[in-house]
Amino acid sequence: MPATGATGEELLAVVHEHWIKYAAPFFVGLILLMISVALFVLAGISAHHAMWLSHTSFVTGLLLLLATNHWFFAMLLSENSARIIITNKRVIHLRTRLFIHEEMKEITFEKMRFVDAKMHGLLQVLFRYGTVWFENGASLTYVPHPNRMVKQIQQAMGMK
Amino acid sequence: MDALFATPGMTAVTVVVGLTELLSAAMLLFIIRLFLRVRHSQENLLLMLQRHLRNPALDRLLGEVTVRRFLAPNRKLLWMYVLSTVIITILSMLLFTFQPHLL
Repeated sequence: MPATGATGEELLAVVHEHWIKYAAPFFVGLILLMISVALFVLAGISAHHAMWLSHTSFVTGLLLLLATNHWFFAMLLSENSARIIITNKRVIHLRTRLFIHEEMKEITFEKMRFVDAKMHGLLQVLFRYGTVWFENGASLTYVPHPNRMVKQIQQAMGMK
Repeated sequence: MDALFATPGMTAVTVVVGLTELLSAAMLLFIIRLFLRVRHSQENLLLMLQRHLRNPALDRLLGEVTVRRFLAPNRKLLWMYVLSTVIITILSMLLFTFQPHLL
């Protein structure tokens, strides 16, 4: 049941962005992890024959492993805090990048009659995510089940 | 342990590894502090929005539980981050300290 406030604004849904946004950083992280493990192995193999190569490999591997760990979790913490809040009057998109910026995008339905969902490519159709486009040119990416969200927004526009 | 400072080269590498670990710990604390600040502001924003949207009766019933639920996954991620950094630090230090025996 939607909750109504004193202003007549109703909360319809709170949506997380689609998990697919983690896929590319995850694979990059995995590759960097494999490279750092390879450097540790190289450090082990070369320990008796070339001490300096072993030390350089070890320090480089350690730096790469720690940098990957910090970057990966900073990315996860940033991306995980993104929310799409839908009410009968507006859509609020909360987004945070830990080192870069905090963003709150607000799209009000006033004077707006058109909203559209687009799913491009096999991945988007297969995993059911896409982009929601608004009449004023604003858009929301990585929206799970965008058609469902558009239907909700269209109903909200009709409720005005 | 003496092997770590046996030669000037080995001493230099030991210092570099130690500084790297310290830098990593500082980075962890910095990211946690940054994240907690962001989470606090987001929590305030969501609470404000919740007060704006919900009627008082429902608010009394749900309280801040809804907002906490919004942010719950982040807390788990934060602990995973701390744990992975600590594990990497301990394992790499052990590997480096006992390197002459292991390799």
